[in-house]
Amino acid sequence: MKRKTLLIFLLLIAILTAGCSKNKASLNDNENIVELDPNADFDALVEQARGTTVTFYGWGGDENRNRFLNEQLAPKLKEKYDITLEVVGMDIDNILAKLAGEKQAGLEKGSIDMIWINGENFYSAKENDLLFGPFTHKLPNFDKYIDTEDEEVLYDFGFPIEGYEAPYGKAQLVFLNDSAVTPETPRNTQEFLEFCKKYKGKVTYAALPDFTGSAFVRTLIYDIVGHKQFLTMEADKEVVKEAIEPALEYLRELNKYLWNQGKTFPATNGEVDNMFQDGELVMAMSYGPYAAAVGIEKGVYKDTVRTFVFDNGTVGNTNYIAIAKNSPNKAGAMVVINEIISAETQAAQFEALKTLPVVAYDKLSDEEKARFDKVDIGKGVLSQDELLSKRLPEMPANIVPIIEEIWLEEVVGKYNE
Amino acid sequence: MELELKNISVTLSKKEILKSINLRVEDGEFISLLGASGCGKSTLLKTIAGIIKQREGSILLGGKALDKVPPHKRRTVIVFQDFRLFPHMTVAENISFPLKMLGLHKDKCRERAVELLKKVKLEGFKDRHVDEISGGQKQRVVLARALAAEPVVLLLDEPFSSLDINLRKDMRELVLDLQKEYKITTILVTHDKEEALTMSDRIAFMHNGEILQYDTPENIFKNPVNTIVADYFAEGTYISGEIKGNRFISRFFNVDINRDDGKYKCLIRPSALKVNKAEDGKFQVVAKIYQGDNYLLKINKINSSLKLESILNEPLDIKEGDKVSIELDKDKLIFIPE
Amino acid sequence: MKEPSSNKLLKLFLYITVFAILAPMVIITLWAFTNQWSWPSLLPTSYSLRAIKEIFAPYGNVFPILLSSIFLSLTVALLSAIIAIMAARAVVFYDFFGKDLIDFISMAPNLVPSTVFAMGIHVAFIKMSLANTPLGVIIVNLIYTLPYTINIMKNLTESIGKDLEQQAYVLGASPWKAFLHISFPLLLPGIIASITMAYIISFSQYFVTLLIGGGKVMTFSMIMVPFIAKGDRTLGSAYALVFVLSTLIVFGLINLILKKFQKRKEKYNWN
Repeated sequence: MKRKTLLIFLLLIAILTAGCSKNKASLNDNENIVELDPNADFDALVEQARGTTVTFYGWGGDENRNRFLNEQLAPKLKEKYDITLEVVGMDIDNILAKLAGEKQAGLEKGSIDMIWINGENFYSAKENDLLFGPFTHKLPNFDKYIDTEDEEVLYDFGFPIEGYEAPYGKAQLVFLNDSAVTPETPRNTQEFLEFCKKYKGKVTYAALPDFTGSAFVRTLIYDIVGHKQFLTMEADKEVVKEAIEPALEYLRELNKYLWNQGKTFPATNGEVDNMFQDGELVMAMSYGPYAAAVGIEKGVYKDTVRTFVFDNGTVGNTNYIAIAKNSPNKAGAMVVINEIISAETQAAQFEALKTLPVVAYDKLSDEEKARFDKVDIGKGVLSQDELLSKRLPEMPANIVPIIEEIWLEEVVGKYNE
Repeated sequence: MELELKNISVTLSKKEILKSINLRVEDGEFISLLGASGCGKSTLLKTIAGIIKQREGSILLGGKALDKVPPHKRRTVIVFQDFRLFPHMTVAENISFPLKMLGLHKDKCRERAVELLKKVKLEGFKDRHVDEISGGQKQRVVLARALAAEPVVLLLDEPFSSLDINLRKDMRELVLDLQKEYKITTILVTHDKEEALTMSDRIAFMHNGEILQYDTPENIFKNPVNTIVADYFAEGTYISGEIKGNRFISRFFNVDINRDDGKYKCLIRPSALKVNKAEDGKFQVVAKIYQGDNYLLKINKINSSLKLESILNEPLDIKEGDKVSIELDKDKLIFIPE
Repeated sequence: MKEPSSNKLLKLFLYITVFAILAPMVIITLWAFTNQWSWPSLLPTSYSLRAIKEIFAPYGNVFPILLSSIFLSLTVALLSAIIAIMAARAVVFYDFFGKDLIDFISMAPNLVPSTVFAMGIHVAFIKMSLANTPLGVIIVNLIYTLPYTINIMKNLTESIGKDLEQQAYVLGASPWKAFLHISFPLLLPGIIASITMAYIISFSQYFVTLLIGGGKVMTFSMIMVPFIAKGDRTLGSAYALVFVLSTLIVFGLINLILKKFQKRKEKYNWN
């Protein structure tokens, strides 16, 4: 009798799991594994990639980007190369955790092909040998459209890229205010302090290590102590602390006038943005330079929302696409990346997502230039020229966490004596 | 069918509960397993039903070994003290349950259930929920359900102990009537000697996992094999002595008795002692205890350690402190060999 | 007879409970259609269908993922209940070596931070070829749901005991039938509780499912959480609304099916 029960139970499991695997069978197998010939030229890669699936792992919290990738890029790849693009929304921390796990388990054919990445994460992924490369030199569009001498193409947060990732989009920290509420837009840290005094308790930024909050603090530091020294600075806490001491003093001074007197800070920039939308704050910030336009278009911002930056500029960085070392379809990934850095895709992306394109304007043909020029970037934003002229390079990736640590120790809830 | 237990030993949690039990119950016989709680009588019942596995020994039913037969195929039905009605079923569903297990058709089940309800005098209760009936009614449902299972051996595990005393008599009669009607071999587990004496054809007296005596009620009452059995039925005073040439000789009295020679203990139960008021009596009443139907007299022999008890049916005028003479009813004396 | 004051208190408590459940639901529903809701307006200052359009957009596959996610969680819930029934019986009715250890071990995944646990199990699952498969996700979900379901079933199994089943045996029921006809109906409330509990745990599981499923096994949480994490209240609320509604529907169906099953068992024509 017991055996019968067991049998029924096993049967049940079998049915249920069979149901599941049937449901997902097409996602589940590794039939698409494509061995990469290191000497293959690009045409051979295209040939090899035909009929395969490429997975693209990256942050999934931007519905516009999800839509662009699924509705514009994916069909184009299918049509042009017969490649199926599978976009998977996953935070970079989890992606790296997954890659590390796969590496630890010795899995040679992983599940991730392309990764949306930059900065500290690229640094740690490359250091831990989780990435494939160099590969950018094999992409025809890399030479054709990208300024290969550009700092941001050579270095990611000061860390040499060495062909392990290709630029995907450019971001720059911008500030937002509602011109109907606050007519003035501070042009430097001094004016920003005055602004905070005037709108006491109505300004704040996301607690570090939030990506945006962290960039904001770096922008303030740059404005106070300059940015050049950091490019070569030793990643030593004492050294960094000494260099940014005037900025720390400024930040502590600022605390008095911030939301909740700087005793606490919102955990994420999303919260800051929500508070701005609700009118609880008079200023927001974003890493998306055209956030104002996107927000107004969505309807979450009032039409009177405007973008501004400091005269000395704000931190800007590029985000990139890398290929996992254990990617099962490196050829496909390279074909897709090549397509992404084409003028056509970059222009489409510029139009759909309002991210700064990574292609070099002067490498474009007139026709291509026209495509970019005619894009209506929307309301309340700064021009691409103005943004690029006020763009400051990122600090080396290994200094960023040190600053975040110092901020936690020296700034939160602290005041100058 | 006749049931026979051969050398049944049961060990539970490393404790030996039953030690080599031998028992034979004839077809249609009603026997009782009598004993104090913890003597192993319920365990024996469960072993017969197959719920507990014996470590050693064999159970034979109608001559066939039951040892490898699972409980549900033995047709040895237990009626438990706590009823164990299925709480999610109505009265009729409870009674139908064993019928359904026998594979009877729904209509047939229903018919039979109604029939059985009539037998236990519970017509009209079929759709009641089991929470909605009284203790006595539950007992009847349980009996009907047990009968529905068409038992070959009916095992009753203290079935009346959770009932009010007034109800017990009715239920005992009902059980006996049904047992006679269906001629089911029945084993009653009880610690109540009256119940055992009045209901059974034979009584198996159990103590510490062993059967000390297995006999008819009369015999077990009159000729207990040892003091444990004797005391269980009725306590009294033991007097050591010896039988020689058909005469019991002791410090206190001598009496003719037709027994083998040897050392004996004579048990004087209160019922064997008659008391008369006498100024020159050698005994003195130390206590007179009212017991409803009669009085219990506690009597000490003057200038001796001998203590006796007697039953006084009429109040008479014997009081505490009175001097009395005693008279022994020879037929009621119990001799237990030492 | 209840005292009137305790009755009032009870009612008050009931209202508070209902309010505590309904108020967030109302707010979530409003937010799902909200564009701007600035302080101090009592109601949203402008509405839009942005989130609804987004959820119904074909590229997002929201509903296919929702369905397969429901199927996955139901599988987990059913397996979890079945295993819990068996485990509870084993623990309650039988004595075996290391019985006490089972309690502790079953709680362990909830004692260790889930990130740590997930990383360890991820490596193990890759080696067993379970990573990135629905089966792997089901197993890892089971690890999280079983402590709860086993505890529910254990307490109930303990309180029902073995007595009724024993009675059924001697009345001619095989162990399987005794379980099916006697214990199962009595365990049913616990089974429903276990299934719903396991379902909700599995359905809302994010990190572990994400890591083991590796993006190959998509669940509803995985498309919902990024928007909530980002702080997009409109989309977050819309997804949450779908989450809650789908869960309510599933619970309703589970209840209906199991109750019907019980009714049919119980009924069998006495009128």
